[in-house]
Amino acid sequence: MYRLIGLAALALLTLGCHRALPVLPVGGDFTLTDDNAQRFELSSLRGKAVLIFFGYTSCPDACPTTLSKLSSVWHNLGGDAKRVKTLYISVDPQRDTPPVLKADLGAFDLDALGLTGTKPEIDKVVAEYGAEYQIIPTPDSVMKYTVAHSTTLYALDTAGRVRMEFPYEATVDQITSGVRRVLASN
Amino acid sequence: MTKTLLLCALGLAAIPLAAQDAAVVARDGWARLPLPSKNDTALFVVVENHSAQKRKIVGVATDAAQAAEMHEMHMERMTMVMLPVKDVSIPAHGKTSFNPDTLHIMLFGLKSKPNIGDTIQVTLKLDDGTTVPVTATFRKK
Repeated sequence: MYRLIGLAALALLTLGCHRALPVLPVGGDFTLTDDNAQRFELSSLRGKAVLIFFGYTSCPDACPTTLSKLSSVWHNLGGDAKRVKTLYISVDPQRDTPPVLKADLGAFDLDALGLTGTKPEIDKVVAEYGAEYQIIPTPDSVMKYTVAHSTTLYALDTAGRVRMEFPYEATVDQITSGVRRVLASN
Repeated sequence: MTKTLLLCALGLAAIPLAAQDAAVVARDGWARLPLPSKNDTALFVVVENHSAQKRKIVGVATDAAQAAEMHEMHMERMTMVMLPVKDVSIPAHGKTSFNPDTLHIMLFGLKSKPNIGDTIQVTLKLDDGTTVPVTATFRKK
């Protein structure tokens, strides 16, 4: 059922490709810690389109799939790629320290920054963007806990406003054309 | 005739017992290259059941990692949920695919850092006591 909703959202993305992009009622500025252990403010990226998604580096499937997809998007953007930054916000600050984020993001060829913070800081950003996550204890597993998390990709324009949301099923081509629309939307 | 029978018998004796009874077989195994800070990764494979009996995979073993578990991923609204599962069914005369976005075998604590193209061996344990060997090749995605 929800997969159908995702596919319907994709269809709307395609159908609406010639309409002006609305400003979506989610998002906002935030401050977190980047993968160089420096404080990071979203407002420092004004002038660039920003792609944001939430995940964790121990995620074996959805997160590496999304990062691989975004690497392809980054390459497809060609000369526009330098105007786009990806932010990977960890919802697992216990395991995802700045060095872990930096090392693991380095495996993907794209301009991305890993972000972490205290749990209250992360929860605030998650709430602002309408995302969600849940720590699920798995005492019988070596992992001890897993993290259920939303997989929506948020595309922000150069003024930091969310202009598009992509479901997990979005293809590289759909995200690439969406990012181009966001870049042209200011 | 006697000579033919003798040759057949010798031929059968040369086939390992597991291969003669391979009602369940694995193919197309691959594992995701672990991220730089990790010794854990996911393995994917297609398991075919050529018998008339439904089978269950009830465990995974490997010498190449400290632990192996079966995990299921599913979406609830737009949220990805991943949880360990105790067993996985393979329908009679059917197959079960461990694919990205559905099922995978988690390997925890790989004993060596693999490169693209390296292979890893794991063993699936079935509910009838038999085992299925799996060979998976490491690749990036």
